[in-house]
Amino acid sequence: MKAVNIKLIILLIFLFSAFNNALSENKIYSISNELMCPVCQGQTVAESNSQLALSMKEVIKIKVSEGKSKEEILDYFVLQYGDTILAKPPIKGFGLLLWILPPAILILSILMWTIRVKKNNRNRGK
Amino acid sequence: MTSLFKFPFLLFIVFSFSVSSAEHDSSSKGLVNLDKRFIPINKEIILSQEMTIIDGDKNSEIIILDNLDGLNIVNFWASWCNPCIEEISELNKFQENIYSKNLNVSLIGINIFDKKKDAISFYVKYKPFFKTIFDNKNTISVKFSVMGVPETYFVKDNKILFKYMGKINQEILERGIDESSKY
Repeated sequence: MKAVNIKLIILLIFLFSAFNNALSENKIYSISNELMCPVCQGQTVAESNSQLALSMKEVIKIKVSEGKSKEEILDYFVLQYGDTILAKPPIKGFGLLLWILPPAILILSILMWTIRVKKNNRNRGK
Repeated sequence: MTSLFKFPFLLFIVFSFSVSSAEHDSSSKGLVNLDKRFIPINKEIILSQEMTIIDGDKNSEIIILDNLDGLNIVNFWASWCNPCIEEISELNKFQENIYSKNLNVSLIGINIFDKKKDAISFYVKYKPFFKTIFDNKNTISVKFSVMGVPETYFVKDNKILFKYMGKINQEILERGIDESSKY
């Protein structure tokens, strides 16, 4: 009975460690998939096998093992390489202006054009 | 009304111009005027990195790189990189200058993106005079934000001032030292 208990404990420890490893691997992949490889064309760190991407994966692995959160790790890479390292750059500051201004100008132009057309039609009617 | 109609288009032109001039401004400050391969960084660096001294011995000393006080020139290289091979003689001449002129500068070569045995073979073949170390954990490149090899960083009192991307020579190193004295 004692031997069975010990085997069960060993099995549980093994399962727990395997589960933990799978979670870590998943977290490493998820983080590396949100970072662009700075020396590749359109590839994330997860997709790239470049030397720099391998170093970045190593850093992610160390930081995950230190218990750092995903946000903390992404912030660390932003500090090293800037916002462009993110696969989805944050929409803020000048970037926000770049997103908002073109559609705003388009909408404003359509509005002005509609007003002008309506006014011309009204004038013709008179 | 016509002027009102033109307003959004004028705004769009002004916007496009400001975007292009903003891009131009960010790449034309300070050092970049001298040479576009000089990239300003201005970033504190905290190191506690286990490194192996490369001296041709397979069981060479392991050190902790943790303090870059004073002015340090940190050159990143790899054994498979041709410009790194080409710049070795320039770096050796510069190290001789440090000795002969008693300059207050440390030159450190860090091998990255490489296998330790290839780094040792490189050392035996090209014999760098300066301190040459191997990154055991393959992570120091991220701490320095290295993009490729060769890259040379000018670090003063644990602060990365700027880097030079590409093959370096004595003239560029001296220019870098002059610039560092302004910080």
